Amino acid sequence: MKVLNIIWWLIYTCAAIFLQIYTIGVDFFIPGIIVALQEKKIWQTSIVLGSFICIQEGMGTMPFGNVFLWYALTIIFFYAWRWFFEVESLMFILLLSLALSVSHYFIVTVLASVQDIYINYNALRDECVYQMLLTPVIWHAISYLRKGFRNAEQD
Amino acid sequence: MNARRLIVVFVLLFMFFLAIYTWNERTSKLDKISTNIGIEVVGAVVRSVTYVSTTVSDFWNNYISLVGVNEENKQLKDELFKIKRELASAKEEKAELERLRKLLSVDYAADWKAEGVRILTWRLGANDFFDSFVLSKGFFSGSKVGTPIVNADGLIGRVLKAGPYTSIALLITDSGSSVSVLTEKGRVAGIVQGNGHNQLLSMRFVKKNEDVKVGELVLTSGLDLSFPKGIPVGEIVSIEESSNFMLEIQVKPLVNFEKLEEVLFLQNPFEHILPEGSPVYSPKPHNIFSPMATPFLVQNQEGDIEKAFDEQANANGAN
Repeated sequence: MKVLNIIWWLIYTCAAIFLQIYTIGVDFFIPGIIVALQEKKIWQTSIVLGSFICIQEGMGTMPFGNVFLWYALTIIFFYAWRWFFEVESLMFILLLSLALSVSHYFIVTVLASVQDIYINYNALRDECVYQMLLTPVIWHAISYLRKGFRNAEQD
Repeated sequence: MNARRLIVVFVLLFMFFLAIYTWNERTSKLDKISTNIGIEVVGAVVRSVTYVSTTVSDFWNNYISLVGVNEENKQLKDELFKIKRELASAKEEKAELERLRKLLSVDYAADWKAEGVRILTWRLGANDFFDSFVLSKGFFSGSKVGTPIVNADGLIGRVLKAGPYTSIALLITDSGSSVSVLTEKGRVAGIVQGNGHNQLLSMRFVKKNEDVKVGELVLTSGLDLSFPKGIPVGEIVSIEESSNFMLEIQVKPLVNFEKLEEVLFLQNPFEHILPEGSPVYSPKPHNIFSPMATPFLVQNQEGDIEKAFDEQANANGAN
C-alpha cells in the first residue's frame, strides 16, 4: 500500500470510530470492507480486515469471535452476490446490507446464548435495521471519495 | 470464484473460526490482544478528536468570528468576550471543583486506593451490547478487570476490560451485573442485579419474613471482596411477594448515570491474595441461600434455588 493510501485508510478508520460514538450499534467499518473487496487488492483487504476486526472486537464488550464471524460472512456474501449482480450496482449493495444485517442478528443471538449473555433483542433488531439502511449510504459516500482519491493519485 | 470454491472457503473460514474461538475460550489471548489494540485506538481517536474540536472551536471564537468589526469595537468586544470566557471557564472549573470535591468525600475503606478517572464516551460499536462506558485510564493507572467504580452518590459498576490507557466499565444496571448487598437498617443480605439501561435494579434472594422496608438504603456487603463494604447502591422503591418463598424487591440506583463525567476507581487491597476474581459479567446469580458466600466458592444456579424451594413446598404440602 502506498503512503497516501495508508493515510486514507487511517482517516477512514478514525472517522468510522468517531461516527460509531454517535450512532450506537451501527458498524461503520463494514462499508469500508466492501470497498476494499471491490478494489480486489488482496494485501489491502487483508490488512484492512485484520485491523478492523482487532479494533471492533477490542472496543466491544462481547468475547472475541462475533465480529470475526460477521466480517468473514461479509466476504462470503460479497462473492456469492457477485454471481448475480454487478458489484458497483445499487441492488448488489442493498441485498448485501440486508444479508449482513440479518446475519448480524443471528450471529449475536447464537453467540450470546452460547456465552450465556443477556441481550436486549428489541435494541438489537433496531440496530440491525439501522445498519441495513445506513450501509448503502455510507458505502456510496466512501466509493465516491475513494474514486476521487484514486483519480488524484493517478494525476 | 465458483460455487464449489466458495463453499470450501466458507467451510475453512468456519473451521478456523471454531478453532480460534475455542482456543480463545481457554486462553483469552485474542481477547487480550484485541482489547489492548481496540480500546487504545478508540481512546486515542476520542481524545484527539476532542482536542482538535476544542482547539478549532477556540480558534474560531477568538479570531474568525471577530473579523470585520472596527478596531475599538473589536477591542471592547474582545475584552468582554475574554471576561465572559473567563467567567464561563471559572464557572466550569468551579463546577468541576465541586464535583471533584464531592468525589474526594467518597467514604470507602481506607485500605482501598482511589484513582480519579474521566468518562471518554458511552457504549459504542456494533459489538457492544452491555450497559457500559469507556474510561480514560487503563491498567497502567491501576485499572484491572473487576476494579469497582464509584462516585460520591454510590456504586457505578466494575471494570470489564482494561487496556494500557483506556478501560471499559460495566454498569450495575446491566443485566449481567450482580452485587452482593445488605440493607442499611435490617442488615438483610441479598444480591442486586441489573435489568438494563434506565431500569430499576432487582434485589434477589430475600426471604418473605425478612425485615426490609421501602425507602431503605441498600449497601455493598463487601463479603465477596469484589467491592468495599458500605458503598450505597440504591434505595428500595417497591417490595412484592412472589409465588415462591422470596420477595421481589425493586431498587432505584442512587447514581444518575446520565450526568456522569468523572468517577473513581477503587483498587482492591486483597487482589494479590485472591485465587481468582469473581467474573464481572455473570448472567445468573452466584449463590443460593447465603449471599454471604463468596461467588468464586459457590457457583450454584438460579434454577437450583427455585427447584429447591419448590421441592420444599411440595414436601410441606404432602405433610
